[in-house]
Amino acid sequence: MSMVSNSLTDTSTERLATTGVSQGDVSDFFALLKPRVMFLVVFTALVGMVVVHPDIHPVVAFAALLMIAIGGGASGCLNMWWDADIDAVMTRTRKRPIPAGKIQPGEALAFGMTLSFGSVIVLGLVTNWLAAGLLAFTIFFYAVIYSMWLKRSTPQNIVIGGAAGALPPVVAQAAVAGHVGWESIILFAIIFMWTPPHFWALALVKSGDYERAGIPMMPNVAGPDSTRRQILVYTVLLAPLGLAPVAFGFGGLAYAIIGTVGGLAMLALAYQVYRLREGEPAMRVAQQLFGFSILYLFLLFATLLAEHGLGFFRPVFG
Amino acid sequence: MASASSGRFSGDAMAQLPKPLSPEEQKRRRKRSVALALTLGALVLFFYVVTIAKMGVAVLQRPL
Repeated sequence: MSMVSNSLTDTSTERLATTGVSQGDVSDFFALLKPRVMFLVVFTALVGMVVVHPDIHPVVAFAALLMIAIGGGASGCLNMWWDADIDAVMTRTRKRPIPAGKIQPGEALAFGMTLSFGSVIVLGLVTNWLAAGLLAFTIFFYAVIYSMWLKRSTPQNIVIGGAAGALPPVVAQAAVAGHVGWESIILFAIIFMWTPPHFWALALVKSGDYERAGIPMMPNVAGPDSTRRQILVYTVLLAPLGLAPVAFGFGGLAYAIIGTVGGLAMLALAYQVYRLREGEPAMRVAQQLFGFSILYLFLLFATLLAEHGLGFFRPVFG
Repeated sequence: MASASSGRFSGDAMAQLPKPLSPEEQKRRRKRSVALALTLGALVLFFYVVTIAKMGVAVLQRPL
């Protein structure tokens, strides 16, 4: 009796010691969803929808977009849950809710899983199960394939993991059109090819951070010079790929101009990153490439949105 | 066995019982509860609007 009683007491005290009152504010839970990434997800998904001019009720389209946004946020939340240990040692991420002690890891896991299952099921019920399956795959790819496996094991982490960030237009097209077409595959390819120069430019600047956290980013594994060469190679591939919507007929005159000028600017910056390898100028130009790459992708997608959503489309050929 | 005066928990266990919430913690809990209530309300509205949108106007064209 005494042993049983002691055992129960021990279990109870352990539970009490580990089950505290949540310290999180509503804004902390929102921060778990990575709002800036979520904005990018919504934005690229919206473009994936409008380029196919779907014959779908606006409310259903909005609902699909909302579920894609929540699914994207859920994958960000699961990523923060898994990466809390490395987030704590990186200057860029140590103020996130879990390493800051505002939200318990278990809370983040429950929040992320609830939103993941909820968003996938509702998207399936509201639109179709192809879109829901693709959203589930996106969450799985980001949380499991990228966060749990690739991120800590290979310098190609963000190259392969970039697929997760590139999928929202594909999910969106599947949701509103019921199939995956060329338009969303091209948008996927653009984001996929854009990811390495974007993240490696940041990794060049923050290589100390990544090294402290033990993440095998390209500059820490292959060295800064090899990273600069690879940034240039990916940008050389990205610049013409950015014009593929014109070749496939869903990028108009404005897109052709923006895509050409933006692509040339990306190439110029990538070449500068390749050329300048020492000291402050090297860091500055890498930072510039990182910043401009965001603007470049935003302009490409915003132009498509304006052309198809606001009726500014003027065909380049004929 | 623990004595009757200490109930289910020993002295050490009592020391680990949750402390009463501070005003700041109570305020945060209240905000979380309000946010959860608003989210649930929004979800009800969302399902209603989406259901009506998916049924379309054809739902009204039926024999009375």
